[in-house]
Parts: sequence; C-alpha cells; structure tokens
Amino acid sequence: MSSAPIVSGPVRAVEVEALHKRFGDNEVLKGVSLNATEGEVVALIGSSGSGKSTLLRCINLLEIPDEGVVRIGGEQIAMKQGRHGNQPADARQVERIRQRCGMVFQSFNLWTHMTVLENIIEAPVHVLKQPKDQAIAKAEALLAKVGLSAKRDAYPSQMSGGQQQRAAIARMLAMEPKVMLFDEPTSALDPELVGEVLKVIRDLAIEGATMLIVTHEMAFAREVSHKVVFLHQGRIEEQGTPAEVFGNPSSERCRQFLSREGQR
Amino acid sequence: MLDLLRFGSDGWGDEIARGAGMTLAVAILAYLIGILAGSGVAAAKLSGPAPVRWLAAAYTTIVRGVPALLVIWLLFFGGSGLIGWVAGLFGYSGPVELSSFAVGVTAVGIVSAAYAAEVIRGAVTAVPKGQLEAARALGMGRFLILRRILVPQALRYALPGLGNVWQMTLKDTTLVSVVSLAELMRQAYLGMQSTRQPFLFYVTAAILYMIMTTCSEALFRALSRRAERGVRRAVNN
Repeated sequence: MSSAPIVSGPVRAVEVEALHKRFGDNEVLKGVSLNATEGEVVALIGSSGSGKSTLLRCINLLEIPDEGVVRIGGEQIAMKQGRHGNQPADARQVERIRQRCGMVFQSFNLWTHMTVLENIIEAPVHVLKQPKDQAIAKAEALLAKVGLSAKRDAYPSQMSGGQQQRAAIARMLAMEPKVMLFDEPTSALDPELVGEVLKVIRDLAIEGATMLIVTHEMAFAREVSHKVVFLHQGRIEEQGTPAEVFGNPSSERCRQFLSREGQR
Repeated sequence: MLDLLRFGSDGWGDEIARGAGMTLAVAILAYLIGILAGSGVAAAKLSGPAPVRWLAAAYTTIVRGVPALLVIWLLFFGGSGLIGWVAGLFGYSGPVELSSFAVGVTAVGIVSAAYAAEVIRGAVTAVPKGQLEAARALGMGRFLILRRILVPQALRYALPGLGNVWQMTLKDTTLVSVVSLAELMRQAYLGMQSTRQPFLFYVTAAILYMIMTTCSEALFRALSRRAERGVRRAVNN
C-alpha cells in the first residue's frame, strides 16, 4: 500500500460492497466487499470456482451482479429491478464506466478480422472519437512499449500467444483506463511465454497503475501486488499484504491452497 | 436455326435478353428482401421475446417445409382474393389483379428469407463470445459492436451459405413464370412454342443461367476471401 497517495486519504478507485452473483441455483459470489485505492495493485487468488473471475467481471458489468454495489472512481453504477432480475439502469453509464475500466482476458480476444494496429485504434477512434492519425501515433507508441512494433500490421492469428496478449494489453492501454482488470492473463500461455507478459504488467504496476489481477502465478502476485485477496467458495477468506497472506495466513484454507500452489 | 435468336422483330434475341434481365431483377430484389428479412428473422430467433421467437420459428419451418411454387400460387391467388375482400369492405367490387412482378419478387423473397435466416442465425452463433466481450469491455455500444465486430465476423461464416441461398433464389425465379411474368424461363417457353425448337431455346436459357450462376459464384468467392482476412493467411502460411 506504500505507493497509494496519502494526501487527504487514499482515493478509492474501485469499491465493491456485498456483491452477490448467482448462476441459476449456484451462488458464485456470496457477499464480497473489496476496495482498491488509486495506484494499488490487488491480486485475487483462489482455486478455480472460487469466484475470483466472476468478481472481476462484475466490476465492469460483463456479469450483472444480483445484489450489491459497485463504484468506480466514486461513481456508483445505477441498478434497477428488471424483468430478468437486477439490471443496469443506464446503458450509457455502463459504457462510460467500461471506458475507464480496461480489461485483459485469459484468451486475449483480439479481434481476428483486424490487424494489431486496427485492434488498438478501434475503440479510441469509434468510442472516444479521437482523430485517426492521433490514435495511430499513440498506438505505435504503445506497440513500442510492449515490444511489438514489428507486428503492427500482423493479424492475431499470425502471432504467438504471448504477443497476442501484449497486443491486447496495448489495446486496453489505448483507452487510458483508470483501472485495469486482468483476468488470468497468463493462464492460456505456454510456460516460456508467460515471462514476457508478466514483464509488461509489472512495468505498468511500477508506473502506478491501479490494477486488479486474477492470477495463478503466486510468485508474481507476491512480487507486484500491494494487497492479496484469497477467495474461497464465493467469499473472501483472507486478505492482507503479500507478506501477511503468503508469510503467515490466518485461514486454514488459505494455508492449504498456498501449500498446494507450492508457495509455503 | 440460330437465326431464330436474332435481335429485332424477326428473332427472339431481344425477348430472351429482356427475359434474362427480368430474371436478374426478380432474383436481386428477392435476394435483398431475403437478406434484410432474413436478418430480422434471425435476430428475432436469437434474442426476441418468446412469442416473437415462436413466430420466427414457425415462419422458417413452414416456408422451408412447403414447395416454393405453392408459396407463389398462394400469394398470387390468395393475395388478390385477400385484397379484393379488403377492397370490398370499402365498397369496391371490380376485378383485382396483382402485378405478377410484385408477387414474384415477394414470393421468392419470402422463401429466400427463410433460408437466409437460418444461415445468418448459425453464423452469428458461431462468432466466439470473447470477440464481443472484448468490445463491450472497451465501452463500445450495441450498435457499434454490431457494425464493427459482429457483422464482419459473422459474414465469414455466413458467406458460403448466403452464396447457396443466392443460387437457390436465382433458380426459384423460374417458378414465377407460372404467373406469366416474362422472365427468362417464360420467354424460352414462348419461343419454343411458336418455333417448335425446344432444344435451341432451352439450351440457350441453360447457358444464360450458367453464366449468371458462375459469375455470381466468382463474386461470392471474392467476398469470402475479403471477409476471411486474418484467417486464411494463417492457414496458408
């Protein structure tokens, strides 16, 4: 938490209160509350099915929470009761929130019918209405930053997984998001490609980006995060600094999980 | 014998050419109806409320389940009967005759739409969810996603099938000859009747149909290549 600004208290970038999410009869999130201050890196860990990805996807409304409150940069996402349960009240607000909340997916999800450059400038040009030449100049700078200048005109299918994920990160950065959500960004990669993606994320953390990272890379979580949150069966079992959670977890389940992951 | 196909008052050349033009006009208009209405029906099937979904399913099942010829008869006679009845309500009792062009285009369009709807629905379902989620996560609105991501990607899967629907639509126009629309098949029949040269007229018509279908096949292939940018290259590398 050392890098969080202390002037007039830390600024809340993401606030989640008492979030519930059900898929049919299966309650995946059972009242989760979570905060991230500006510049904070939060690692979400837990076994598969613990609800960590669902939590992340509720923050930018890719999943609609059944109950609870989400605030991004202090702005609360308005919800209403619709015919199919809880629904966002204002689609425009959701779009605005998503523009400020970048997301990187496990399976990259670069648009396959566009080149890398076209992928990166798509949202800046069509959503933010930036002039095309300006968007291209920025995209080229971002490609240089993630080490992909040579792949500017390549299609996703012509690139390795690691390259695709770095391009997807560049696409997210082009929107200058206030909050970055990473949903298992290296889980679909061959082991030898994991490092190049983690390096890019690490650099962003050092620059002071606010990030929530769902990850199975325990060593990475320990190294880059300010706060580690351990989820188990839809609840937060344990949270604290990496030193606390990895060094001396108070929950038995967290201890078991970490020893399975070879971290203790 | 080929003199019979001369242009001018003593040959059938201009009649046949006009027939071919009429065939193309009916086919293109019906196909446009097919694509537009088919997209609507596909959208209704994919995300409409239950009664609309049910209607759309009934439409595609019935229209694909009965012969196209029946749809044409039904529209031509049933249609004029219906309009006559409505006109009767307003005190009009004269004869009602529908334009065979309008009926032909509508009937073939109705059939075309039923097949196009299935092709489009399948293609939209084939677009990976992640492609659309990435767009939503960047704050793109529904219409923007439709235009920039969903349609270009679905087109990849839809084009081969839509090419088939086009060929079918083109050939279905021959059925419209039964309501005396002067399209290619009708003109060939008239020429054959007045000259007693069936072989000449039907082979000529066959050649013209072949020219139309092979040209359009080449066009669809070119469109497919364009829609598959980013995919083909990887396969061919």
